[in-house]
Amino acid sequence: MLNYIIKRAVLTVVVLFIVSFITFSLIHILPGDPAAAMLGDQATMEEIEALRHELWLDRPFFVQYGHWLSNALQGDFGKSIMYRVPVSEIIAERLPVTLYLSFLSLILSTFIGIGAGIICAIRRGSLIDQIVSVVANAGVAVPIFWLGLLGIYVFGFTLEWLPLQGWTSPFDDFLKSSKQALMPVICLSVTGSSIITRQTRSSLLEVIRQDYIRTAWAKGMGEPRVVFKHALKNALIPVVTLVGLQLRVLVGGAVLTETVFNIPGMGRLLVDGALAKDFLIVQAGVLLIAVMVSLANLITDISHGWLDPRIRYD
Amino acid sequence: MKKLTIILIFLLMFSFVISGCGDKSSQTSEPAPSQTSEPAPVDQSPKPGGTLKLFVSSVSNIGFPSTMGAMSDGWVSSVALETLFRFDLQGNVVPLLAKDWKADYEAKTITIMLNKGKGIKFHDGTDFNAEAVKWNLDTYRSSQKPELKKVTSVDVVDDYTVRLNLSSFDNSIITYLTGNAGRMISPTAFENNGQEWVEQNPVGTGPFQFVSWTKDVNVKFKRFDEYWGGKPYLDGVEWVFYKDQLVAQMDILAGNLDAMAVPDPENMKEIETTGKFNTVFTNDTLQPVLMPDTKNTNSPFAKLEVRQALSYAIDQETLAESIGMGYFRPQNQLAQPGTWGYNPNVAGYPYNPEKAKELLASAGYPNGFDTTLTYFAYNKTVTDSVTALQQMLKQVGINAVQNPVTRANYIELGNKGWDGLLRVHLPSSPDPLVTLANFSAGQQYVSMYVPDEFVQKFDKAVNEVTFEGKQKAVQELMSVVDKYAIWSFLPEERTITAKSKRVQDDWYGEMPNRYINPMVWLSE
Amino acid sequence: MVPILEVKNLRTQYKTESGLVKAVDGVSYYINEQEIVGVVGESGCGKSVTQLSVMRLINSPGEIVGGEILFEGQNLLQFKANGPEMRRIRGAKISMVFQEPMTSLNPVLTIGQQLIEILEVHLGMSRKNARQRVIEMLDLVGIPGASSRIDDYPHNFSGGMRQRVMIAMALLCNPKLIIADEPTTALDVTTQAQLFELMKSMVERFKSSLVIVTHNLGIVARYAHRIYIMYAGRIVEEGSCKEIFRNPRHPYTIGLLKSVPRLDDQEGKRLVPIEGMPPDLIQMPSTCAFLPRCSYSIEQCRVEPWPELRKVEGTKHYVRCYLKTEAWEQCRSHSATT
Ligand SMILES: Nc1ncnc2c1ncn2[C@@H]1O[C@H](COP(=O)(O)OP(=O)(O)O)[C@@H](O)[C@H]1O
Ligand SMILES: [Mg+2]
Repeated sequence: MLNYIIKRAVLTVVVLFIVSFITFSLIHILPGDPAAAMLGDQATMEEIEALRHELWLDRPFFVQYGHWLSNALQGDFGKSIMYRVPVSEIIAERLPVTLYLSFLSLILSTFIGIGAGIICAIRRGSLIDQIVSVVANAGVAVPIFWLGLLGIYVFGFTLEWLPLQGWTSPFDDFLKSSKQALMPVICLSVTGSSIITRQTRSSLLEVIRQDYIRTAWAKGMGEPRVVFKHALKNALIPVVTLVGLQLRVLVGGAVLTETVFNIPGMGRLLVDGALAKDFLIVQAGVLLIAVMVSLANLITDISHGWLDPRIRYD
Repeated sequence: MKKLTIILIFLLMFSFVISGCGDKSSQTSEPAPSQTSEPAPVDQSPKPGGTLKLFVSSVSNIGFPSTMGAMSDGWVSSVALETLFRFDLQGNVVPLLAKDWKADYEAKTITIMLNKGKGIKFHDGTDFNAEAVKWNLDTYRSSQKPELKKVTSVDVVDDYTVRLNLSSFDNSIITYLTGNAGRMISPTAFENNGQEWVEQNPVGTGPFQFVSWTKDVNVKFKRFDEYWGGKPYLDGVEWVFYKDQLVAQMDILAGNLDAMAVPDPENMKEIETTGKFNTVFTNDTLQPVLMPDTKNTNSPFAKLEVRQALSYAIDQETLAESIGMGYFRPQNQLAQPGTWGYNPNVAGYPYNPEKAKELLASAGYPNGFDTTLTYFAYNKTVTDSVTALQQMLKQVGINAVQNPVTRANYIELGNKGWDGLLRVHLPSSPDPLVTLANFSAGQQYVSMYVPDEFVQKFDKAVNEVTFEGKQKAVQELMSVVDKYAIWSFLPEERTITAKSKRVQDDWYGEMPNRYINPMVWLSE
Repeated sequence: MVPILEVKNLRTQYKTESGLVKAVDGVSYYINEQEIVGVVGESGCGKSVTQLSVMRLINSPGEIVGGEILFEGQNLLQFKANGPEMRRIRGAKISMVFQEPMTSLNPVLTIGQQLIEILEVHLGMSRKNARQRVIEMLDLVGIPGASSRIDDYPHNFSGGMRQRVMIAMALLCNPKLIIADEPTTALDVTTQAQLFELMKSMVERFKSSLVIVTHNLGIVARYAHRIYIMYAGRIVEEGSCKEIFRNPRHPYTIGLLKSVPRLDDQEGKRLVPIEGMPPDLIQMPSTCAFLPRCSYSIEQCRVEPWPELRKVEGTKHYVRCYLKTEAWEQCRSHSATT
């Protein structure tokens, strides 16, 4: 196991290196000059050139990349062009917000998804199964921003049950924070819950047809035990992969939800950074996401090992 | 049913916002004069208390003028950082922190007198005096910013008088002092904390004192009780960040926001129908023009007739009505009607496709020609108007291929050159000389040929010492642009601000530079 | 003697897209206490469905549409399929050893987890005691190192060992009846023999009855007291093991005998599979279902419906065929010469 983790870590480092290089190249290939973008519509050439020099933009591509890399290796990700404060500082502010919301929605969608999936599978063909299946199919397809706006309009604007938008840290004002987080978390969870519901349902139905489930019935076990002890663990193996994949989906979802709900998180930061060609932000953000995705993959693999004893890591 | 319609409209627009997801910071551009819809007079005396909440899309530096970028940096900081001068509604320069000024053409100096005896203090308790002004102007001069390039040195004459020595006379200097160049911060704060800190922590003399800036959430200011103009009524001012216009719009409709600039006329119509808001316009505005690549001698636009034909082919009335929904105005010169620089004798090129075709034929393009129309869509309105424009040009035989670019790319093209037509949105000032300064010097919009007569008239205008002289010269300059059809005008995109009716005496969204009256108050 | 299990006229059907499959169509049989009974037939003839019906493990689209299943005097068909009464019987009084040792054990649970729960649920034993009991039982069925192997997963065992685990599982609650549905089909001949010996000794030791379901008549010869031959969802012949082997009376049984190796076979004798295909259970003729494959059919077979199971005069032998004694004498001798 330890060997396996070390192997993965080494691989991750290689991936990070490649990711950082590709991101760097992409940003530089895209048209437009970050210095110009930052200085506004009326900036003069001198102003722009001075900033370009300060940002090393006037040097050859590989020199720029090398400069960035050597600083990054020492933990210095530079000063954001957009915000004029160290990138690490901004990310330290933004990351917890996105992690908090993503974590809540990951938990929510996992619980809802697995729960609904189980109910559908054991009550297959019933009214509730049909309703949930329709909702889940719609949930996979529904655009998050649409849902967010609808939510804002209905619950915030018309009914006035929830705040329209905004973000408060749960440590500052838990109640307000929770009220504000509710709709974003639900929006973020919709796709995930739907996908997980469908996957849980189909894989549980598949598992229920297996011989060893018949064996469990033949042993005189009751339905709860058959479903939860014998069927679920098997059925969850593909679901765990999906939950792991959700992290990547959440990154995409964060961009939209954070825009719609006006939340200062990583998703918005990355989009703003990309639009402003704030490559220092984008570089650091993308690397961070790559690290998190690798971590999620590792956790997924370890959970697989735990769920399925046939898998061995060496 | 009605609500459903609203939702649908919202969603539709939102999808456009998403698809065109560009940088929105420039869409909320300039102010310009407004004689329309003054706030309804309230028969109440000012009431203290309350926090004014204002929309903003992004800022990056709200405390250090020399490195401020987007306009919104200046707007947000302005409640804390005052300028030496400011504009009034007609676009005239009037004193703010300064008391008066005197120009000497021969000696090439401008002398600025400060408010003596008012005991103006910065928020950190230090004195605002001639030394502080000198420090601020010198700091600004030593940056990359162009406004004070002609200032060679600043002398402290006495505690309340400074003298600017110029390399060559330029009356725009005073105009510049209404903007970031004249924005005063506490030198002590800078000395003690350094530039990085100051960029995040504005320390000025304004009616409101900086409290906090949570990135992409809000910037909060509280009342500065020792404000030299008298104790302000409000408890504070809060700028709230929104990435999405529609969300901000729902917030203002819900009463969570007091004022916001609404870039999309359709949205403004929607807000107006509620009857809960005042609609106001500023006197500095976005002036979109089509700049041709006249420097390229092979370009059809190198010929005057072609440029004139281009202008005749544009139906500004229709664009202003259909796309601007009546909020936009046709224009034929940079100066706004109602401001001092406006030349009533400029005829412009009223829509006349027949004449356009004739001119094209006589220029040797009886069958028209192909060209490119490059533009940066800072909002959906731009995309719509470019499409309409493309049709109009096609009518007279000019086949323009749309070439949408990003904001960064657009700026780069302006600085490095382009082919065909570039749709430029001039963020104009009430003083046209300020708007024209950069490219008359050939620093911006490099593909466009600037006639000698324009440069001469421009130089003459900036050298005028008296207001009357400057006014006359600027009006002449307006005729020169018209005569050479240097560029073609598109309808002026007035910045529309929706404002809650509870906001009183604020001037916000009406005064240039989004200046807010320190004595603003809330009626409920 | 009162039989421990008596199935009367059992009918189980599957509703499929192509039609109604009459998988079990009027099957009656009984099992006496401590009796070992073989149920033999080609695959697809309804053996498993019959046994699953007894266990009430028929899932949709299948349905038990008629008959009685009397076990300890109660008709099991009166209970809900997964109701508490059936759950108390399954695994405790009637237990099953399934055909596929590879797939019948849960791959993600240890052997212990799968066996201990039986004792906990049925006998209310504590986990600790149950574990001890499971280890003893694994030991008894011949799993070496049972006390450590109890924590292994199924994939750590060979096919034969897994089937031993299944047997241990079936025996845990000392059931009245064990149903072994083709328990050795997937295994090699030596292992098959070992397992049958094991099962025989175990049922003797625990005084259980045993139903051995198989498609291979040869296998049951040594163990079964009585044999039922099934064809097309019905029982076509019943008799003691000896009778069936000495005097098979149904051409199908004779065919089955020809297709299995017998202990007294001469070297090099060729096995003859029965010609033709089993019938389509959806469109059953009213005549004998074996008719199309039968080389001894007489006119009566073609015109009259399939006869009921009838006792052969003077024997305890039942058969479902019109052929007279002379005829089957002839057909058996015919088989001997080929
Ligand atoms: N789940 C099912 N769905 C449809 N038909 C089935 C199902 N299970 C069994 N059958 C039908 O029942 C018949 C008997 O099957 P089975 O009892 O398994 O045969 P075997 O004698 O080989 O054990 C098969 O031919 C098949 O057509
Ligand atoms: Mg079978």
